[in-house]
Amino acid sequence: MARYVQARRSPAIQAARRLLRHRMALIGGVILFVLGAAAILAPALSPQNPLAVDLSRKLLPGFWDPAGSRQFPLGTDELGRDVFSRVLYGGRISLLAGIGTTVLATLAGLLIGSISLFSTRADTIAMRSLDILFAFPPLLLAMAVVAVLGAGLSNAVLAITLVDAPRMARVVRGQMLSVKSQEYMEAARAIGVSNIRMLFRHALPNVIPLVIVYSSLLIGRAILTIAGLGFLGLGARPPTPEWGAMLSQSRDLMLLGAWLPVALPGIAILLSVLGFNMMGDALRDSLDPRLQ
Amino acid sequence: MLRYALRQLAYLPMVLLGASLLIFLLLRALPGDPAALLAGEWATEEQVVRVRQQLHLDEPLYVQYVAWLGDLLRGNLGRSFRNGELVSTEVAARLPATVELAVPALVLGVAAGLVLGLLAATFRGTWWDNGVMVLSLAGIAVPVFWMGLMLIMLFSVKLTWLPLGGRFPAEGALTGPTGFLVLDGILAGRPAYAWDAARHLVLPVITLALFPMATVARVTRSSLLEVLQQDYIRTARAKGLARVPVLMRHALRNALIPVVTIVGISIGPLVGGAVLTETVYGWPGLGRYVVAVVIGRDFPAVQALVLFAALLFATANVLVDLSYALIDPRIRFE
Repeated sequence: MARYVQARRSPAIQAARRLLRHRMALIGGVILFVLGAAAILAPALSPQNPLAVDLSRKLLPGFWDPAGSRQFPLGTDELGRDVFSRVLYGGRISLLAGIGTTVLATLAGLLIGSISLFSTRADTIAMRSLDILFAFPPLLLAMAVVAVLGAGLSNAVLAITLVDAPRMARVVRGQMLSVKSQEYMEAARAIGVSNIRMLFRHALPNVIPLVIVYSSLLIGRAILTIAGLGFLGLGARPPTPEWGAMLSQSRDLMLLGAWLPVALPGIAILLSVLGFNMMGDALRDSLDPRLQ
Repeated sequence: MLRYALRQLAYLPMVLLGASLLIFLLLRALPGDPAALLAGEWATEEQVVRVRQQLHLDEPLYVQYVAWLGDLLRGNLGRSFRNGELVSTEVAARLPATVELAVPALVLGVAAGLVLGLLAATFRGTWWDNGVMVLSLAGIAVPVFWMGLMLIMLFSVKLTWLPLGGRFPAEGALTGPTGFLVLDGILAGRPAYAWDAARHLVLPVITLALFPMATVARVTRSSLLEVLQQDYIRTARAKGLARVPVLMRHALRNALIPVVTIVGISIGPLVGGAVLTETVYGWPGLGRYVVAVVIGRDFPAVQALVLFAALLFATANVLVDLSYALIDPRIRFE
């Protein structure tokens, strides 16, 4: 029995070992750790209140400039708000929105994708209906949903969930179908295992690795799209320090030579998407050694 | 091949019909009365009723839907809530600007991506390879709009080599046969105008080309690396063929299928990227129009534009499917 348990656990442990040795996982992990820590610790790390407006100190340069101040290490924006504090707090919003969107889309995708295990007809109907959602370019579908619900961060999250869920559903379904044809599924059915048990005990464990890989790639895209909607004025509303919205509010400052309020939120988006994508690639390599 | 093509094409209208129903119901599900919105703030009750009748908003949903479909098939995309203009007129006025931006961007992105991926695979493990990989990772992760702003800052604000944004040279718009300013400038025998229009295009095209370039480079590299390990490549080299012909004729062609797939997949992001790029550069195309009508909640226009985008997008996807058959003869006979 002990040997059986060991043998069953080893693929996960092997995958974890491969992940730890993976160079991309290391870089991506460090990036995500730093960004995540900065977002969580934002109240402790921020020198200023991110929403505090003071026009008397607008467009201060960074601390290295003689005119700058240690209290506003990376300068201030057009309303005198501390850029560093805003980028830190922005991480809470952008990262959480990206992860939240992906969690919702993944749950919906698992639900829809699992249909294929039980009913061919229901699966066909579900997939043909999803084809309709695939007919829209992703950002435009999200924009149409925002047009209906109204601009705002939570509506943007819902809109992107609607865009991403069908993609996850297709991935889940593909894997479900390949699992379904395996002998152990046939054996389970033959000895009268219930549908629910079959799904949770036999099918899902074989689908989850792929879902983890795909959702880590979806998080990066979700962060980009939320920032894009924010930039277009369709996502988070001012004065919320969301990275995309910050960029759009500060864009004209470039002409005045103040580039930090524009550059920093963009670098933060770039790094977080990079971190999640590298992690996703590394996870794919470690969970599926055949792909290496 | 013909049957395969026909089956793909036959499926397209069904998907579009579904898409039209979805977008129709989506926009009917919203709270508020479009008739009151359109009649204006100071309209009397009778005026609102009259507008409602004119727009057929008082009829059952399925009647409205069928009427809308009929209009669409006749090329009538409806009238904008905001200014009463025909949406089709507004689209036609802006389409050339978007095409002039998006087509060169896609061509540039795919071409540059192929070259970079080829170089990376050929010089696997060298700094060339690493550089291309880092570039493509960054190209996928970078926000389009931020890249646009940074390019403006460098090339327009600091170096002042290129215009800050917009599409038109100082002389203003040029009415020509194609609607593409560079082409019309050349046709009209005004090279200076064409040159100025082209200068306005440089940064937006580069910005929009970045994502397809990054994805194509990445997929070309990994696909080529796989093909280069095949026995027939070793055979070709062993019988004395030179490196370059083997690479171009034997390897690249077989490596192209995943590349075509990724080009197909990047059309969706390209549409989204065009919306963001046009907004960053103040490019007067369809992308900026979509943003304006979504913010203004101009529903007939939103409805028509999103469906129009779905038509282009779904057609492009079918074309991608068909191009597999062109590249890979095996698919034709399946």
